[in-house]
Parts: sequence; structure tokens; C-alpha cells
Amino acid sequence: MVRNARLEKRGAAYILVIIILAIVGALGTAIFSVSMMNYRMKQIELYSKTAFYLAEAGLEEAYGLIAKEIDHAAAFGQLEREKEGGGHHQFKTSYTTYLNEKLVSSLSSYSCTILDPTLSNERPSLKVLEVEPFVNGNDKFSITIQSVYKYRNVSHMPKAIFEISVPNASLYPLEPTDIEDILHMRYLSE
Amino acid sequence: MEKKMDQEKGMTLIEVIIALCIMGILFVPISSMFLSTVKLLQEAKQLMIYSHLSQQYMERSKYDLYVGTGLHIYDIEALQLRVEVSIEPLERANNDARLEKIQLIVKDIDDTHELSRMVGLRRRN
Repeated sequence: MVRNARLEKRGAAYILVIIILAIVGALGTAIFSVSMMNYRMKQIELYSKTAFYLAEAGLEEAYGLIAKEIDHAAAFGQLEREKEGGGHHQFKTSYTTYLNEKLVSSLSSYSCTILDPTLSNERPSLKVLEVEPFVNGNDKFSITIQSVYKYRNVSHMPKAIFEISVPNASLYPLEPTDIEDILHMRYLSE
Repeated sequence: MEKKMDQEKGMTLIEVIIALCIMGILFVPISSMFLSTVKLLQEAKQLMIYSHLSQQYMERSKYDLYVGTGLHIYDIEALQLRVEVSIEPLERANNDARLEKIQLIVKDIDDTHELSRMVGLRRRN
């Protein structure tokens, strides 16, 4: 009887050690996995911000490209106006025709700059989502563009709507401040 | 009867040694797990600081009209970190949009090594 009690006690010590270790181990694993998750979240947040600014850079470049095309269109309009000897109406017709024909194709074929090769060799890709060209009676060209950027498996795809109006023929040659009046960019929700 | 008691005492000693061995063997990975948890949490905190700092200074560089081109260095003494922002015109032949490239690097305050970086574009106003 005495021996049995001793045996039971010895067994209890083992079991206690095992149970304590199991509890501590399980707790440790749980805390470890939570902190691992937390670390990944912070990492993804950093990647996501990086991707966000790179994707936005794509839209800024699109703005630059559209500004350039507006400049070309105005130059074309001016040229036609002088050739035909017409007034503002002639300028407007040539300007709108030029943008209606060229803008979408030049945006689709544009490849953005790699801003920092040490960060990533990927370029933001521009997608034209919606186009409302100049039509008779409508003096606004509006185009919605989405820029997609993927950085380390985290992607961002901001959208923006660009609204282009027709400048007065007398404004030519266009100054950068004129472009800001002609071209408006608004960010849309992703 | 006395002999038996002695034997049992010896068994208990061996048992204690075995138990200590088991504890020791199991204790090493468990304690190292706790240590790496602490390390991981510290690293996560650092990452959070980098990403918040980067965002803060990137937004400032993008939209603050008074931040001109060139290299701007911001030292954050409290965190022992340095934020280097370089703003320069984007060199691209077919783009006349007055775009400027913003490159932002978070470093140690003593400038030893780079901790994180971000790039973006802004329109010159």
C-alpha cells in the first residue's frame, strides 16, 4: 500500500512536468504564430504602401503623356488653322480630331518608366477603362485610366478620371499653367 | 525492507535526473521560441515605424509646395533614424509633363545602412 502511494506520487511528478511543458509549449507556439502574423502584416503594409506610390506614379505619368498629347493637338490645331486660314472653329475641329484619334492609342502603347531598378523591375501598367471623346456639342473629353502595380505579390490599382477641355486658339503656344486649366485629374476609389 | 527503501530512494534520484534531462531538452526549444517571438515583435515594430515614416515624408514631399527639388535630410532623434528624400526631374525624352521623381530612403541616423525605400512621382506646381 505504501509502495503504491509512492509509485503514484512519482508518476504524478512526471505527468506534471509533461503537462507544464505542454502548456508552456502550446502557449509559446500560439504567441509565436500571432507575432509571426503580426510581422507579416507589417511587412505587407510596407509593400502595399510601396506598391501604392508606384501605381500612383503610373497615373502621374499618364497625366504627363496626356499633357504632351494636348500640346501636340494644340500645335496641330494651330497649323491647320493657319493653313486653312480659319478661326477658332477650325482650331477646335483639328484639336478635337487629333485627340479623339491619337490619345487612346498612345496611352495604350505607352510603357511607364522603371523608377527604381533596385526596388523592382516592373512597370506600372496603364489600362484605359472608359473613354468619352469630343463629340459635337460636347467640349469635354473624359478618360478613365487605371494603373496596376504589383510589388512582392501586393498589388494596387488606383483609378483616375482625366477631363480635357478645348483651349482658346489664342492661347497657343500652351504654357504649363495653361495645361493645368485644360487638363483636370481626379482620383477615383480603387 | 530497509534495502528496498534504499533502492526506491536511488530510483527517485535517477528519476529526478531524467526529469531534469527531459525538462532541459524540452526547455531549450521552448525558450528559443519565446526569444524569437520577442525578436520578431521588435522587428515588426521597426517595420511599422519605417512604413509610417515613409508614408508621412512621401506625402509631404508629394503635396507640400515648399519642398523643392534636391536632397532633403530629416533626422528623427527620438527614433535614431534618418529619412533622406531626393527630388529630381524625371528624365524621359518623350515626356514633357514636369514630373519629378521622389526617392525616399530610411536609414540609421549615423548613415550606416539603408533600412527601407520608396519611390514616387509628383507634378511640379
